[in-house]
Amino acid sequence: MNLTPFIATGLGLGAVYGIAAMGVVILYRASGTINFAFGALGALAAHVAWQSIEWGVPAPLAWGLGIAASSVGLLLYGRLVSARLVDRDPVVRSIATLGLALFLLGIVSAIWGPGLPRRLTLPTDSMALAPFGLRISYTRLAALAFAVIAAGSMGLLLNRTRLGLAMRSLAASRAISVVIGVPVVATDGAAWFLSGVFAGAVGLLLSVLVVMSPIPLTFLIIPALAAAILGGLTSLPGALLGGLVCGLAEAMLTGVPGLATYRSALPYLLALLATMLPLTPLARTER
Amino acid sequence: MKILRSLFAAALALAALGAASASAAPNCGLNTRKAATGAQIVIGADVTASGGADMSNAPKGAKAFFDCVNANGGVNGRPIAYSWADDQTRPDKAAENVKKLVEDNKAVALVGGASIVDCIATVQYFKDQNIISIMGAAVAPPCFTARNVAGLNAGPRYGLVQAVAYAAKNLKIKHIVCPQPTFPGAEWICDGIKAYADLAGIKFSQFTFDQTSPDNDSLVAQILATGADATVYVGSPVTVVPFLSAAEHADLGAKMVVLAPSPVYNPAIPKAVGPYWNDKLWVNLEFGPIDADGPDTKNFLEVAKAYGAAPDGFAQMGYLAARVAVDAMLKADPAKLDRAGVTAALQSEQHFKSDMLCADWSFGGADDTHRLSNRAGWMAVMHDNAWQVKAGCTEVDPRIIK
Repeated sequence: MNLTPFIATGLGLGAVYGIAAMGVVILYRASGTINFAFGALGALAAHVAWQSIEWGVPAPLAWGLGIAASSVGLLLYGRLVSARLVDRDPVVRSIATLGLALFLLGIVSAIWGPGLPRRLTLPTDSMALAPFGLRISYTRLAALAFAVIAAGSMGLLLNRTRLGLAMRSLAASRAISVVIGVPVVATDGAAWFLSGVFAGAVGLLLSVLVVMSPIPLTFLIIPALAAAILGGLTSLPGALLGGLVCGLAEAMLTGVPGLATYRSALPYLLALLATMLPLTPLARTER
Repeated sequence: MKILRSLFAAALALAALGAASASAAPNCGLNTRKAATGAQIVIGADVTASGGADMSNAPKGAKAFFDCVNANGGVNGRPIAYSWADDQTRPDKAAENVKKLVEDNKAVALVGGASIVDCIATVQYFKDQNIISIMGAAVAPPCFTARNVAGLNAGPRYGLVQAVAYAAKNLKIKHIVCPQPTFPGAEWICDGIKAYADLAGIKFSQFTFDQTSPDNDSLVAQILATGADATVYVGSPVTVVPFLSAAEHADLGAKMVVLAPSPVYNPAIPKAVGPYWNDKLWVNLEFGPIDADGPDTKNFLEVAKAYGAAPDGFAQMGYLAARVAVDAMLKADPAKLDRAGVTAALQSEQHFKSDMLCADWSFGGADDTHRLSNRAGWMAVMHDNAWQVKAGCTEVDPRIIK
C-alpha cells in the first residue's frame, strides 16, 4: 500500500491537533488547569462564524466574531467560575471545565442542531500544490503555517515578555506570585483569553478541514490532550510536534489493512506511552 | 361605494384563501377532521439516530402521519400512541429497545423504524412475540428474509446496485470502489455491488473504513488510491456532507463520480455540499421525487409541513410505513386490534398503492425467502445546485436479489 497520500491528510490533521494542543498547554502553563472545554469552545466559534456568514456578515469578520465568542466566553468562565476555584486542587479546576464543555455542547446543539452538518469554506480549499503527486490544499498549508507561527509567537510571548514571565510565575506558585506583585487576575485572564483564541481558531480550521458538528468538535479535546501529553504538557514546540505525530500516525495507519479501523485510538495509545516511557519530557517530569 | 367594493374584494380573497387552505389540508386515515378519543393503539419503532448515522427522520415522518390520523378520527376512533428509541448502531441496544417497546409499552406493532442493526438482533424475538415490524428503512440482511419484518425501502444494497447499474450503462464507468463501513451487515451491501460488477464486467475494489471517525481525508485518500472512476458512499445525509467536503479538498470529483443511497436525496444537501458537486453526485431514489406531481407525494409534503417532519427521503420511508399500517388496521376488525389482530392485518397487507412507489407494495407471502417488495427506483443527479431526476423506475437486476 502506498502511504504517500496519507502524509498530506496527516499533516493537515496533525497541524490542527498541534494548534489545539498548544491552546491546552498555554492555559496549563499559566494556571495548571487542563481545559476540557477546548473543543466545545471551538464548536461555539465555528457555529457563530457560520451563522454570521448566513446573516450576510463578510467571512473574515464572521471568523473574527467566532473567535471572539470562544475567547470572551472562556475569559468569562475564567473570571466568574474558575476564579472561585483558585484554592482548589488543579485536578478539581480541570474537571470543572467539563461542566463548561457540557454546557456549551448543550447550547450549540440546541441552537444549531440537529440536522445536516454545516460547512465552512475558504477560497483556498480548491487551490492546491501537488508535489510528487501529493495533493496538498492551500488550506492545509495555511493550517500548518498557522501552527508553526503560533508556536513561535506564543513561545516568544511566554519566554520573552513580562506577561509570559507573569504566567510562568503564576504556574509555579500563585501564592508567591501575589506576594511579589504579579497582576494575578490580569495574567490569569490573559491565559484564559489566549486559550479561547486558540480554541476558536482550531474550531474554525477543523470545521473547514474535517467536520462542522458539535459533538466531533467537542471531543477534539481528546486527541489534543494526547498531543499535549506527548509533547510534555508544558512545551509549545512539543505540543505542535505531538500534534503532528498524532495526526500523521493516525492518517498513515489508514493504509495498513487490519489496523485502519483502530486508528482513531492511536493518539490515546501514544499519549499513554508518553506517560510511561522515560524518553518523553512528561515521563521524566513525573519521575 | 368604493369602500364597499374594496371590502367585497377582500372578502372574496379571504374566501379563496380559505378554500385553498382547505384543499391543501392533508389527507389522513378516515379524514373526519375530528380528534380520536378512544383507547390508544400503541406502536413503536427502533431507530439508528447516533453512532455513525442518523436515520431519525424516518420515525419523525411516521409520527407526522400518525398525528395527522389521530386528528382525523384515528383508527376507527382510536388514536395511535407512537414512540421510538435510538439504538446507537448497537445490536444489543436495538434488542433492548424492542423488548422495552413490546413488553413494557405493550406495542402491538413496530412501524416506521429505520435502523442499521435492528434486524440482526431482533428478528427471532419478533417471531417469538408474533409481532410485525414494518420498517421505513431496512438495512441489515435479515430484514429482507425474516418472516415478521418487511421494509418499505429497497435498502442500500439494492439501491446502490441500481445506482451502479445506471452508472455502468449511462456514465460508462469501468471501475467501482465500495468503501465498506464497519457496522454489522455492511459487507452484504458491498457484496451486492461486487456481484453486479462481476456480472457487468466492471472492475471492483473494496476496503473497510470506520464510519464513526471524523477523518474523512484518509477515507478519500484510500478511495483515490484505488484508481476507480466511480465510488459508492454508504452513508446518510449527516455523514455525506463532511465526506464530500473532504473529497472536494482532494478534488476527487475530477477523477470519479460519487453514487449515494436514497437518504442523500435531501433538498438541503445541494446547498450544504456546494456547487463543486454539480453533475458529480448521483443518488438512487427508493421513493419518488419529492417535487413530483402525484397526490401521495403532495399529501406527504402537506403532512410533513403540518406535523413537523422533514421533507426528505427518510421521512418518506416513515410516512409510507405509517400509511401501510393505518391502511391495514382500518381494514381489520376494530374489535381485534390487539397484537395478534394487528399482526394478521399487516401480514395481509397486499397491493398498497402510492405514487411514491414504482409498483404496488405487498407484505409478501408467508413462505417468501426474499421480502423485497420495493425493487425499482429513480436516479437523480445534483445539477445547477439542485436535484434533477434523470431516470425513473429502473428495476434492480434480479440476479443480485439474495
